[in-house]
Amino acid sequence: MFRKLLEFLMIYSLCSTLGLGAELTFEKKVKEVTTRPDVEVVNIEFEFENTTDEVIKIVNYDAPCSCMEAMLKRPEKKNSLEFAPGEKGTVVGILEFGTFSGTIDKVIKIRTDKDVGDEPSIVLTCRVTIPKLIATNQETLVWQVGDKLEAKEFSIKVDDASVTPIKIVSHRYGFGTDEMFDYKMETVNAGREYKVSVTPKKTDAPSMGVVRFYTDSSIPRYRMVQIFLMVDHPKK
Amino acid sequence: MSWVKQSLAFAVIAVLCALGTYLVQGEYDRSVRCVQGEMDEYEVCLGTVMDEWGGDVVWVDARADVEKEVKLTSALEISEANAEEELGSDVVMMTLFKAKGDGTRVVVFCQTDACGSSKYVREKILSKGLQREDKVFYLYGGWKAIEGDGRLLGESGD
Repeated sequence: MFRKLLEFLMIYSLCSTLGLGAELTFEKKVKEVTTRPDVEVVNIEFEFENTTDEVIKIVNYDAPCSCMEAMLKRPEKKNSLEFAPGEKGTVVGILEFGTFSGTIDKVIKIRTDKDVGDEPSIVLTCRVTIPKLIATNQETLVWQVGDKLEAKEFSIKVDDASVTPIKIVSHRYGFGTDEMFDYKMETVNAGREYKVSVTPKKTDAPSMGVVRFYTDSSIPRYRMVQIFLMVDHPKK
Repeated sequence: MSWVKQSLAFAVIAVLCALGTYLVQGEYDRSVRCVQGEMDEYEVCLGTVMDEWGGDVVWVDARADVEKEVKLTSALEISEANAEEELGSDVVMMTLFKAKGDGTRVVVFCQTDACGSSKYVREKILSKGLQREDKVFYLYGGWKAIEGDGRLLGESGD
């Protein structure tokens, strides 16, 4: 019994020294959100409570990325960064996206007056997924120097999550690519699936190009997909 | 002694203390402390880039436009939000591909060490096959490290 009490006191004093006993308690420190395809701004909320018996002051909260802003809300609308025992609050991460699609992690760092050391004790992660409604099944087609001039294929598919079809309305070579590669596009199912076959014109030296496919999507981030083409450098 | 004289006396003492500190410690060190041995595998200190590699790298600026009050004129610009499109630009693509052939290292930086954009842009460069994995790094401290060091700012433009 005495030994248990001693262990508890040692752990308590160690936690107090490190500031671990005086942290704000968050329901979740990582929040995952899948957005609508056309989303431009996402708000992610992290609720917390001061479950300690000490007053905790937030001395700094920051989202170290220009695409995100952090805000602090209090239910009682109090304009203070001090949280008495039992008081609650919400940290809101506001994320803005350009033409991005896929999954991205962004953090909010919070420092309290109980923090020791250089790093803030609280790190909240916003994990946002913006659906890829149209994508190629490969990012790059690669040949090696000296390879036969053989065709390689890839497909462009529209995800089932897209209620409306996304049609490819035009396509073209990037600068200089037509000197190095030929391609042919075939419509498998208009607005749903396309197949593209690419053949290098020569593989005697490294070269690189891109072909871009433009769509009729009303959402800017799905208006273009591209494939990189490469006759790769020999490995050194 | 009136309160004015007392205040002046304190001010003089404060200035003398500041001057003493300056003479003993030198100018305030704005550089970002970085120990290469403590970095992640593909994270690099500015000191390593400038002193060990002689600064002979392709710089990639992964900051958002609003953060670019000052730029490195030689840096390629690939922002996180538009990485897919910007990687397909002729200059960006061909510069990275040439660096791959030459074996030149690529170093990506964003605004701070915690912004995460440089890691993301590094992954995008690799996913397109535009460089080899062991040749693309992200800069510890980001633009703050570049500003604090100052050596690269001679080539910067507004």
